[in-house]
Amino acid sequence: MTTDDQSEKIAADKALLRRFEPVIRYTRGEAFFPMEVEPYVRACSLWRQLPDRPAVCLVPEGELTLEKLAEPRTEGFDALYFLKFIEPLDLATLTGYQLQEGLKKKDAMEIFKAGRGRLARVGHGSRFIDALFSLSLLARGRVPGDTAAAAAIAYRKILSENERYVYHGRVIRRNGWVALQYWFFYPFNNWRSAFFGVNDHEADWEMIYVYLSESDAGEVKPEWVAYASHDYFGDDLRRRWDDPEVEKLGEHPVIYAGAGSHASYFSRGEYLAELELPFLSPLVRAVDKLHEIWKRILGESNDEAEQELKREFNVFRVPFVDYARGDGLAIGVGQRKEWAEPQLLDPAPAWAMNYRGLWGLYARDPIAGENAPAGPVYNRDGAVRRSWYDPLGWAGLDKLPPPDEMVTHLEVQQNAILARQAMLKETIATKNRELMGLGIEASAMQGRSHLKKLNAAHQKQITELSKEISQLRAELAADEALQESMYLYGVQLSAGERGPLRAHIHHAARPATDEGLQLSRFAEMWSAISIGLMLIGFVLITLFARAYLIFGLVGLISLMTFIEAGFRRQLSQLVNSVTIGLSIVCALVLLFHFFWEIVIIGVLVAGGYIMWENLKELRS
Amino acid sequence: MDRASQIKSRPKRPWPVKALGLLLLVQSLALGSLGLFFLAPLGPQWTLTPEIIRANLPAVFKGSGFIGFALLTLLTTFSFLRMRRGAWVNAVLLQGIGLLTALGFYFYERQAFAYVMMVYGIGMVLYLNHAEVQAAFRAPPSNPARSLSDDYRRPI
Repeated sequence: MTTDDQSEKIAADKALLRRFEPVIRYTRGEAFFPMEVEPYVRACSLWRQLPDRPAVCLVPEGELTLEKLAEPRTEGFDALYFLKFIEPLDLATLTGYQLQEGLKKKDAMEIFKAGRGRLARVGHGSRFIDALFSLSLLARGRVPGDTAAAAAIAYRKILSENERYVYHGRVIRRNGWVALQYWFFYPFNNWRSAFFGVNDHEADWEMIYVYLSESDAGEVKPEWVAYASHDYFGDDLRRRWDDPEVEKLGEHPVIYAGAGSHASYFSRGEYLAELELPFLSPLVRAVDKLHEIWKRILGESNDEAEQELKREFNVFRVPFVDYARGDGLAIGVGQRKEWAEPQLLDPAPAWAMNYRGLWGLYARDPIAGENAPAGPVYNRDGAVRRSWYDPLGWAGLDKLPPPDEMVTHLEVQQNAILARQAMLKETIATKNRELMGLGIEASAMQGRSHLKKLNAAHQKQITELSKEISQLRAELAADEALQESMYLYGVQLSAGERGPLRAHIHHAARPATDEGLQLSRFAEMWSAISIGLMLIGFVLITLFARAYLIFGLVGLISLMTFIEAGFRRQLSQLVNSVTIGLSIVCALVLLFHFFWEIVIIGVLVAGGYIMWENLKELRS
Repeated sequence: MDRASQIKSRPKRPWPVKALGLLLLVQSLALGSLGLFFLAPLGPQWTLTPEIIRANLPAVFKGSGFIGFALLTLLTTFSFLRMRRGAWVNAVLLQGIGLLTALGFYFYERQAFAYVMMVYGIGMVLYLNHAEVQAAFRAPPSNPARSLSDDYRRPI
C-alpha cells in the first residue's frame, strides 16, 4: 500500500468512526472521562515486578513516553510490568484537597446521591458475605485510599492543560461486516471509593462495537451494536440497531456509562452487579444446582424473568449497584462536551502492540479487581484479548452474514442441503436394493438345513442394513424439514423481515425496576445496620447467656430473618423455605432410623406399581 | 355482578387441590385423635379440677395443643377447598409447625407417632410445592397497586 493509499484509508476510517461515534451519558459525580493515552503515559512511571522482590522503577515519572513504553523488554518469564499514575498524597496535600472539595460550590453534575442502597435490595446472606468482602480488603492488596483523590487532582491538571475528550478506534472488515471498534481510556476507575462499588484501579479500558453492512456501491448501514459490560459475553452483548433498547441520536448510539466502573449499558438505570468470590464458587454452584433440582422435581415455572430474579439472589454472591443514570455530563455530538479527533488503532501503534504490561498500579490483589487492566490488545496475563482478534465472535456475530448477503448464503446452504438429500436418496435406494436382495436370498434359504449358517449370516446382515437404512431415512426426513423451514425463512427474508429482535439474547442486563427501588427509608436503614446488630447480639449472648448460646443464636437469626422478610414482603416465601428446611431435616432423621425399611418399602411400591401398570394393560 | 354470575366466575377447583383438601382433613382428624389420646389419662368424666390439671400438666398441655392444632388445620382445610389465596401459605405454615412438633417429640420423647407426623408432613410439603397446586393459588392480579397483604397472599 502506498503512502497515499494509506493516508486515504486513515481518512476514510476516521470519517466512518466519526459518523457512528457514540454519545456517552455519565452519572452525576463522575470524575474521569475518556482521554488519549499520551498525556497519561507522560504522567506515569514504569515499573517491573519480579516474584518475592520489591518492584523496581524502570522509567521515572516525567521521562516516560509512548516510544519508551513500546520498547521491547525481556527480563524473564515472571516479570510483570506496570505503570504507576499516582504517588500517594502527603497528609497536607490530601487535607488541602479535601478542604477545597468541601468548601467548593459544586456543579450539580459533580454531586452523586446513592439513593436506595444496594444492601437494601438483597438478603441477609449477601450482606454477610459483603461484610466479609469489605474485611478482606484489609488483607488483600488494594489501591490506597487517597489514590482516587490524587488521581482526580492529576486528571484535572491534564484537563486544564488541554481539555479534550478522546476515544481510540479502528475499523475491521471481516465476513462482509464492517466492525467499528471504539475504545475509551479512563485514567482511573473509582467505583469503590466514590460509588460503593467493587473496586478501584488506575487506568480503565472500555469498549463498544458498531457493526455495519456494506453494499456493493460502498454504502454502509448500521445493523448491530455491542457494548462490553460486566459478566456478559457473546450474543448477550449484542443488540440490533432497530431494537428499541438501543437509544440513538441520529446515527450515534447512546451509551449509559456505569458511575466509576465505566461499564456500558443500553438503558439508563441502576444495575445490580454480582461479584462471585473465587473461594465461594463451589457454594455458588451448589446453590444454583439445588435451585435447578428443586425446579425439576416440582415442575416449577420456566418463566425467564422469574428465574432471572431467583438467580439474582444467590446468597454467596456479593451484590453491588452499578449506577448508570445518565444524569451527568454527556459527551458526543450535540452534547455539552464533544469528541476531539479520534486516535486510530489501525495500524496498531507500537505502544498498543509492544507493551503487554498493566496500564496502572499492580496492587497485588489475588482477586485482581484492584489491579490495573492491560491495554486494548492484551489481557492482564499478556494473552491477546478476544475483542481484539475476533471482533465478530466476541459478540456472537460470526455465525451471521450481513443482511444483504443473507439470501445468497441461504441459497448456497439450501443447495448444499439439496445436494446432500440427493446423495442420501441415492444411497438409500442402493442400500434398499441390497436389502431386498438379501431378503429374497434369506427367503429362498428357509427350511434348508445345510444353509443354516449362511442364513444366520444373512439375518445378521439384514438387521444391520435395515437399521442403517432407517437411520438414513430419519436423516433425510430431518433434512426435508430443515429445507422447508429454510424455504419459509427465505420468503420471510425476501419480504424484508428479519425475525425476532431479541431471540439471540439469553441473559440481558436489566436495570432495577421502580417497584424494586420503592423500599422505605426504614428498610434501608435496617439493611445497613442488621449485620452489625447481629454481631452485637452474638457478643451479648456469649457474654451473658453462654449456656443458651445455640438457642439464642437460632432465636436471634430467626428474629432478624423474620423482620427482614417483612420489609421485603417475602413472608410467605420465608415460611415455605423454613418448612422445606424442616422437611429435609425430618427426611434425614427418617433415613437415619429406617434406612432398610425405606429401601424395602421403595422396592415394594415399585413392584406394586409395575403390577398395577401391567394389570391395567391386560384389562384394556 | 349478581350472585349467580359471581358463582359462575368462581375458579374451578383442580383435583390436586381437592386431594390436598382431603389430606388436610385426614391430618386434622389424626391430630384431634392424638389430642384426645393425650387427654385420656384425665379420666372419662372430664372433670378438670385444678388438682387434676396440676397432676397431669404435660398431658393437658400436649392434648390441648394438638386439639388446637387440629382445629386450625380444619379451618385451613375449608379455606383451602374454597381456594382462598391465603390458604396455601397457611397450609405450608401448619406443615412447618407439624414438622417442628414431630422433631420436638423425636428429640425429647422418641414417640413413635413423631415418625408418622414426619412422613405425612414431608409428603404434604412436597405436594403443596407442586407447580400445579401453586398455580391454582396464584390468581391473576386484579388490581395493579400492590399492598403488603397482597404479597402475603402470594404463594411464592
